[in-house]
Amino acid sequence: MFTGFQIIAITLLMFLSGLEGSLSGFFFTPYGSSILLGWITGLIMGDTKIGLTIGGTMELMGIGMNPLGGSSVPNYSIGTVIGTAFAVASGVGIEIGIATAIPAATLSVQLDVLQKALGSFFYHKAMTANENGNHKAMYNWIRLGFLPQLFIGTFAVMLMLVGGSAVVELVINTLPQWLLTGFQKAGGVLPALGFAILLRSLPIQGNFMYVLIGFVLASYMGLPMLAIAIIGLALAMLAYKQNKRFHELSEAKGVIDDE
Amino acid sequence: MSKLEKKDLFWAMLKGWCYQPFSFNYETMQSPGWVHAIGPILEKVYGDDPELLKEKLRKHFVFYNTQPWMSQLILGSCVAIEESQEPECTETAIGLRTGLMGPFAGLGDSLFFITGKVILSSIAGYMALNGSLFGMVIILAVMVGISYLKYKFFYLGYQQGAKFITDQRANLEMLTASAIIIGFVVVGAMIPSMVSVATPLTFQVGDVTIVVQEMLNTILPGLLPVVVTGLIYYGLALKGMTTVRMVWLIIVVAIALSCIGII
Repeated sequence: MFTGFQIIAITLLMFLSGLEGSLSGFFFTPYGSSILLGWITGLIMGDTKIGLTIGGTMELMGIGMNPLGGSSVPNYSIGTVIGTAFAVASGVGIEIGIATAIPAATLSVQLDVLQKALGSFFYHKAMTANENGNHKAMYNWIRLGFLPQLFIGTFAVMLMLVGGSAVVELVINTLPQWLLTGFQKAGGVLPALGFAILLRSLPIQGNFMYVLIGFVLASYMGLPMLAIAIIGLALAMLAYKQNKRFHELSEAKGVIDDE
Repeated sequence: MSKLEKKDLFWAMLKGWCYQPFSFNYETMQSPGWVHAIGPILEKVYGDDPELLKEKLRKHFVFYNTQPWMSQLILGSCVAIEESQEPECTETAIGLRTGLMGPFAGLGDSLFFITGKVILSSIAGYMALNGSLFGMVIILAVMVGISYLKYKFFYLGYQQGAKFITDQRANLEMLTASAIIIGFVVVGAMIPSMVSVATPLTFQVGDVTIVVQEMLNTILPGLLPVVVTGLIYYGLALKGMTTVRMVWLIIVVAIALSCIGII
């Protein structure tokens, strides 16, 4: 299903994007990683349009999913790469891409838990090295503790590409249409989870009117997202100005009260 | 008298830039990466007393977790405190670090990870679905600014010290509270435009065919996405519900509903 070049190139892409994202953090960041990965995977596979579609879908699904406070969330990078690769290679297109991307991303949560658990080993080794007064070893252990993060995801993608071909081929031949359609419908609903999580993690009290404004601008007026964000920016500037004024007034009042 | 040279500070800034993935673990989270960044500074300042150095490193290994970009401010000011060589300076530095990591995580997460991500990911994701990579250009432009902040925060923390950070907190909090508003507006807009759920149901009443989706649209465009988002919102509060469980639940329910022809 995949050529040797494709497997090597995609595995290398996973490795390099992980390295870049962790170290310089400029291209593969919390923002837009799935889109960039989808596009590059599409380039390797020979169909950037599918790559952008899968990447964009994964990006939207991941909007509310932030690994805050060391928690684990689905790995949409792995989902994008796997989904795009299978969508193009199978020749079936977006349907099969979404049907493989979502389970791949969701199952990859376990990889994140594994690599963070492995971190403890390196942490204890570094602590011991400090007790022994060997600082060089201490820094080396800390640096080595970066490797699980880098290799586990890369290795998982490689395995899925090598071993997954047979599975996906079987799946394409035997999977009923209703299941593929179902996955596509699920793909349409899943962004709602991201928004629900966001509304839960943001201070919704006293801010609900802004959700209403955004809703009307999009659903009734059909404005493009950038336009809506600019209106949001204007509202934010207004609120900031008012808050600042209020803050200054209350501070000035505090001074008078003190006297 | 300062023992630290320009290049020591530069290396600490650079190691603080990417400290987060270094031996991240469930026990002390980001502390190994922190030691990796501040350790060489301690060696330089306290290198002639190995026992004291060991003791200080041990203290820096305790639990630390915050938003990785905001961490640069804390790192910078802790470097300045350790450089002062005051008798109890490590206690002061760790106290400051522990005191600030919570508020800074809250600020940084809601500003960069939540609000920033809602805006940038939605715009870029939307463009990608339309076959355009232009959204990434916007994101990279923002990343230039954020990279400057990650650089600047360290030196700001180092030069201005803890007092500056504490003074700026009220201002930062106001900025975050305002920036979140953009997030809310965009989320409100994203629900009807990004959640795609529609029903193909039709009813035959006499000679008239009623298309349910058209009827729903006249009540409120985007009614189904709102209902679905609302259900998930309340579903997340259920006991024992996790994000990953919710993902599986949504997949199963969506497949089931699509099978019986409701969506």
